[in-house]
Amino acid sequence: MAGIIDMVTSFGIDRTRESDLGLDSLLSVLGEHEVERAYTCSLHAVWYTGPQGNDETLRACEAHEVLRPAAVLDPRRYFDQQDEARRCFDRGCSVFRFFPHQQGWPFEFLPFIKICETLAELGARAIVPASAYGEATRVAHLLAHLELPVLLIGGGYANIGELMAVLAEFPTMHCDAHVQDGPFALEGLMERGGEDRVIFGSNSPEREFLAPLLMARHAELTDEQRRGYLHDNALAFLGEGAA
Amino acid sequence: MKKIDMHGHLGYWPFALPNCGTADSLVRLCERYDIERLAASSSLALNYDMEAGNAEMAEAAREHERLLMYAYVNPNFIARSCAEMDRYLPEEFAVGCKIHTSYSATPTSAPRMHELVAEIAGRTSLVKVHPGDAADLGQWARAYPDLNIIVAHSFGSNYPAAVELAVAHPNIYLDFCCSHAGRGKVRYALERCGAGQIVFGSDMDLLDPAFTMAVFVGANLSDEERRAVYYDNGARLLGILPTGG
Repeated sequence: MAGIIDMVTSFGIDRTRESDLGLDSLLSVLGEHEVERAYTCSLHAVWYTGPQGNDETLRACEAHEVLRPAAVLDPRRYFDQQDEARRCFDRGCSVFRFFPHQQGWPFEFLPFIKICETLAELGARAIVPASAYGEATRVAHLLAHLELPVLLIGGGYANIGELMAVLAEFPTMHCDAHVQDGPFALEGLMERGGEDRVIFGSNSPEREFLAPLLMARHAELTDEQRRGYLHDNALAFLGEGAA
Repeated sequence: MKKIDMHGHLGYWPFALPNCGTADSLVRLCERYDIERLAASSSLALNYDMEAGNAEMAEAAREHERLLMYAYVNPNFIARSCAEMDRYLPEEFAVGCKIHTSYSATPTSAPRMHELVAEIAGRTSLVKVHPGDAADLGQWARAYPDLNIIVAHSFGSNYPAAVELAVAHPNIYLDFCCSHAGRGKVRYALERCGAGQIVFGSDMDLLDPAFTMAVFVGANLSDEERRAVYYDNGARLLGILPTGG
């Protein structure tokens, strides 16, 4: 039985409160749930500077087999971010995350689109938040010209209908479900958005790993669908094919 | 003219600012604008990691005599902030503390911010505050008469409120760096609180010092005012003999 691939984790510091978001905390959660592979990023790259934070991410991934890098790109620093994407890609990182909510930039930001064009040229993958009404739609339209697989994360019961529509309409779009807490959410997303395009992410260690996991365990899914959500769909998203 | 710059930062910002973010880039700007001393805090400390940022700032200040350090302290972590102050303030290069309301997500009205300022006042005579509420700053100025408080940016376009604070409290100092160079605000301040409570702060290397110098040049300072603002007031706060000229 294949384990879990977690596409959404991070580690680091929260400057606004006492918290335990450190690497040890993340590793502890991943170990407890026998996660096979987790894509992660240092919050240093979100809140301060990408290159230093991404180096921290790459070092953590070199030191811990379970971790895979998800480098952070910041479109506000446009002048060096395409080079940063290439630098990280050359070091084995094929997944890149964006944090527009924390960093305060809009999706219609030309630097974001240009950076995504670079990611598409590289054959990389992008993880983009889509938690508010209209965000998934905007991202899908803005990146529709690109062969860039995108994982939309953070959607909840409010925008689940939008995610269903976006996934059904745009074949490069995928979504996670770590905030999907409505009844039958997974079943609905897989049925209407595509059963191969809903991918597990936990947002650990900030969020409770068990929340999306128990939703998956209790959902009325076939074993194949459940394995797809927890593992195989991530492989397909990553271009590795199903296990 | 020699200057003392009371508002700088070491480190990177999330904007397209090529060739910035290092001690070398600060020193280069100091040389370009005849800035003899720059009191700076770490942007790494503000944005993310207080301890790592303060350590970087201290290392830069040890290496470059021109750079002086504000120890950044965060009201969310009072005990750790006290430890940072105790670690750095005894150092000759450390001139005071920096607090920032928005990066710490803590308004000046918050009890934990008041608690932190009490800890600062017990350890140093200088704090630079990225603004909050004028009433809170006035309360601190009254409660801690030996604590000199630099109001970073002088509340931006709401500068009359900062000037009013300075008129009411001799230990309030105004710094006019801003991302928009409002015309007339320096003259407005000079006419009400005089030149003795205005310091030069550039916000380098987020901003180029020339941008802030422009609001002083535009104010047509007298020689005496220029010497006070560019050098003597900062020198007095830092305990440097006023030798500007």
